[in-house]
Amino acid sequence: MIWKRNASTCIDKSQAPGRMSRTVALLAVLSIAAVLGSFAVGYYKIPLSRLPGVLLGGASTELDVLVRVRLPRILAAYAIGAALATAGSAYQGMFKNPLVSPEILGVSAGAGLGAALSITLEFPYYITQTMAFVFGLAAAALCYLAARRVRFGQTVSMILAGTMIQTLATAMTTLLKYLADPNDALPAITFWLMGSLTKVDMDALLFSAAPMAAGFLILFAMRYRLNVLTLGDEEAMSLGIDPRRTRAAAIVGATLLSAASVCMGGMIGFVGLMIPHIARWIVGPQYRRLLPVACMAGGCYLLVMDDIARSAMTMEIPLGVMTAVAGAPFFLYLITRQGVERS
Amino acid sequence: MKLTADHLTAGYMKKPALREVSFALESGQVLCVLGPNGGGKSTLFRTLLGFLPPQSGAVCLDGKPLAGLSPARMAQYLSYIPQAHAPAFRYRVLDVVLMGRTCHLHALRCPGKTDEELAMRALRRLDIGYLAQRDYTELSGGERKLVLIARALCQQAQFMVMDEPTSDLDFAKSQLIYDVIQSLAADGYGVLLSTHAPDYPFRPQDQVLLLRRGRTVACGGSAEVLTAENLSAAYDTPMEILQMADSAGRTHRVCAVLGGAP
Repeated sequence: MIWKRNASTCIDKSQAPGRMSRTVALLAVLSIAAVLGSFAVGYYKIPLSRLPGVLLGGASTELDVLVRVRLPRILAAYAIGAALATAGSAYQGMFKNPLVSPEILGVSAGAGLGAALSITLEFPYYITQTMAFVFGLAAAALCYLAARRVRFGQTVSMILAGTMIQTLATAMTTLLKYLADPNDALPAITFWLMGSLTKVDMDALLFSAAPMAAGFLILFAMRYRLNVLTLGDEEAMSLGIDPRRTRAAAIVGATLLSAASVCMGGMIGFVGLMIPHIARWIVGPQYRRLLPVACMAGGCYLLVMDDIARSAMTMEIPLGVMTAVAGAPFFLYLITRQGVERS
Repeated sequence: MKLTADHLTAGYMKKPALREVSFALESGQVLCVLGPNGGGKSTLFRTLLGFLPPQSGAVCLDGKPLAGLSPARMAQYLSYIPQAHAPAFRYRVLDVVLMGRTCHLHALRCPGKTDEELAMRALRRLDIGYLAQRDYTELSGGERKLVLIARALCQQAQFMVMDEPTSDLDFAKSQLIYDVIQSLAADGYGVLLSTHAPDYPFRPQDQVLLLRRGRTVACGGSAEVLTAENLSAAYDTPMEILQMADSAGRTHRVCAVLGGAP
């Protein structure tokens, strides 16, 4: 063969056999450690050593704090991180673009508008959550319908439609903020848009559980076909999948995950962009490996970020701000690296 | 098996880029679609593969139209080796080849051990087994082309469609791809390839379809189609067929561009 030189060099170690199982095992241990450790974090001091005693010791204030306040919050942080990272991985693949994040189809912007509307109208929290969820789904549905008729180049049309919907929803949210009562509604909207898990309780968690489970199920079930979709419509079709139908299914799954996350925690950016990249560095772009790793890494990351957000200062740092502060420099680094090497 | 195109007219909007094109290709044969840029080669392939619905005419396999088939069924008969290929993500070569198994897998299944063996066998068939664990995006143009041919082998479709397989390769690597194509035909695959430069080493048994502005200039065995008149008409420039003998005494038919105004 003419070009047989350097045959043994450049073997991609990240996809070597054995690496996947080690990574999954490590992430599982990290996840358990992060969840257990997070019980000890918070304003009300309960040291880690006392956890077993409190948990087994029957009713007490400490038990109340652990089960009613911290447990839902820990579960929510882990679930949201896992959902956004999984959705981000799927969106990046189906749009053939590693710089795409779950906000691409306007889910977050739509959800923000729904929540702002509900807060302005002084609806209770569960209505706000419902409206955020419904508006998020509606925004993605609008993008999809707008681009549905396009035969080829559907993804570009969808991204453009997403940008329009985002602009529109953000403009309307801004109008609502302008009109909102500066004493209670305005701070509530602002706080919601910044992303926070302070209001999460068991009911909020249960509301999001079903759509999240459905989203995870859909994306994990089609994990192999997601790879084929990253090659573009024509090639995917020549390999034997219907690109439009497959993408539609992936969009449903990823949108359910994003909307269920946003309606619980507000706008938490960068997790869905950053974690898929880190996961790809660890185990490569093959979705069978990527999805479980992104899922667990996203959960750990957001849980740790939320722990920092609620314990670093006396006043709680909004989680959305926390992830953006940690995420934006990474994003810049990514852009500068893009020219040299695709991740 | 026999792949036929029957008076195929196709294109975008009202203006067809392909008019009334017909051909027939048996498995084990090579059909080279030849013609200048804009001749309708890509449109023909896009129509064959079902990316573009024909405006009239039909593509048939053993007399049965392909039009109503699902992408998975279609992929079991026709594989595709695209021209430019730069995936957005750094897949391993083995994973790229494994994607050829998609049309044989249930929608929710991942490829298993048997599929992996088939992929490795396809790579070894082309002497590139050593590339299996490499990063596909770091390969050279020629290596990528071979990996895509391996993917098509792994797909186990009787017919392969190669869109300008040598357009970005130097002539030594082009020759290697052409050798691979002829050995695939010897194995019983029907190969359709397109090229805008008539540098394919035509053998007497190869079929040629000569296209110009979407219409057939000539179609048939390479000896009848490749004449000075036909080529000059297709490319709008004076061309000739030169017969030459190499030092080993084998004769070659070479298409030569004479240049100058017609």
